[in-house]
Amino acid sequence: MKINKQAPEKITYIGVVALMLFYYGYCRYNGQGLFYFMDSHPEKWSPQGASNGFHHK
Amino acid sequence: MRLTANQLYRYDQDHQCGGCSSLRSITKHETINLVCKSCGTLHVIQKSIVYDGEFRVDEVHKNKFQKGNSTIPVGTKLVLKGINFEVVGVLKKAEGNAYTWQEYYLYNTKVGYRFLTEYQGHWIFLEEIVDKKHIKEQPYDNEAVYDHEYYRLFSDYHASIESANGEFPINLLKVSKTLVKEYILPPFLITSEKDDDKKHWFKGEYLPTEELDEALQGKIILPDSFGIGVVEPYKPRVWFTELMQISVVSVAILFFIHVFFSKSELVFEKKFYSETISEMRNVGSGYDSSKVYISPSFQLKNGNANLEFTLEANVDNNWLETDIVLVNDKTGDEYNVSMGVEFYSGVEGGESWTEGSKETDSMIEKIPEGLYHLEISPSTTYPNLVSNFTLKVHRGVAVYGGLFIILLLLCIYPIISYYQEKTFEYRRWQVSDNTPFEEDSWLGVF
Repeated sequence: MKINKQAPEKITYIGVVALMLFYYGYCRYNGQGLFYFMDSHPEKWSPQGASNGFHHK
Repeated sequence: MRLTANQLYRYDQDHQCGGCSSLRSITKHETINLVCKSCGTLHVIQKSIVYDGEFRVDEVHKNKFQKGNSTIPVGTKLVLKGINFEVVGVLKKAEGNAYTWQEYYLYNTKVGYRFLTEYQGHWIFLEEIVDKKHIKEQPYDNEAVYDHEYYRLFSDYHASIESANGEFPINLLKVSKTLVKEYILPPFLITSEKDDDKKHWFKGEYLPTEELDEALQGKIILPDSFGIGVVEPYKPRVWFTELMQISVVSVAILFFIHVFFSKSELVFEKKFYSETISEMRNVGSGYDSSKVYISPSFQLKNGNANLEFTLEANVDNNWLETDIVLVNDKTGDEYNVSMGVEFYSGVEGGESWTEGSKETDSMIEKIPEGLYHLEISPSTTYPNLVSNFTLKVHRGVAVYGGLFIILLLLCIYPIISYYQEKTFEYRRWQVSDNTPFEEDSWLGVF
């Protein structure tokens, strides 16, 4: 049986594109940017101690 | 019996080579030339017209050709295109000192001769065109028409023989005087070989290495191909058209996601007038933390979403800054943002100038749903107070940065594929003197 050598590449590419779209959808659903995970978010302060560097006045 | 000139011999019998005395037999009645594998001696023969089953040796050219090694040895049997063939002769040809390639003569009792050529690991399977009336050369256009298809001239040359081995249905002494013209329409080509007497036409098709490997049942290790074959078809791992189909669908999904999660909603808006600002300011520092405007609570819905703060102030040769704290009424979580606008204008040297802006915006991402209020602390210049400013807060605002990044990523592979497809023909024709591409074509940039 001959194997279609194009198929794995095509499927891989479709997989990568699907992952990108999923991540974009996830970010939009969460109201965050694509690089949100890289930010330190100093603007947030929480009374529970999740400060991230912002000091309450 | 030694093969010597002007003697009759029988086919399918062992005879001694006229050069080195090793045993040779001639099995094909179409054979005109026999080249000894051991010493390269050429025997020019012809079938006897008097005695059936016999041939006559006309000439013996001792050590005429070099001994050479071929990828597929003479005598190899293979099944190509459903036909059983035997390799009966191999030529190694050269054009000047630049290019060398191998030509294999395949023989089948019923169909006669077929040919294989190999150059840089690329194989072409050829057969002679019997009905030449379907071929029309158009030399002024560097084209030939065969079966209503246009073939473009790729090369024309006189070849020389570097080495030879086996039986041949042609006169090898005439090869160097033969003008060869190759017209291509990948994966096909047609070739003309013209000597003093007549012109022969051949049609060929690119033969994938896998197919030849199958024909040889994997018994011979074929060389790896490199470069682009003369009639090698373009076969990318994924076709550009397929990539475009995927891209169109993915871009449609991308925009759907973008629009679906971009339902911008105004959740807070207030216009502050000079009285309020004056009341909140402190003359010495321009800011009084005890004079903070606390907004009524408002509800943020629909899970997590971003918040965009837009500050618009009637600044005119002054400035306004404000600290804004978004507070979750239930959890006490706070989100801080500082914003400021300044606008200056004047006339200098007879020309008016402006600097700054009356509007600015800032965004906080991933704000959970819940009940919130704002604590707003503006400050401005004294005594040139800002007469009023407006603060608007929108939730679920469309952000285009991420959209463009994803669009860019989606374009990368199709662009590379497009370039590869376009440059494939350009690179094929780079070795040809008849390239249809201009020398300074953009295709040769990378």
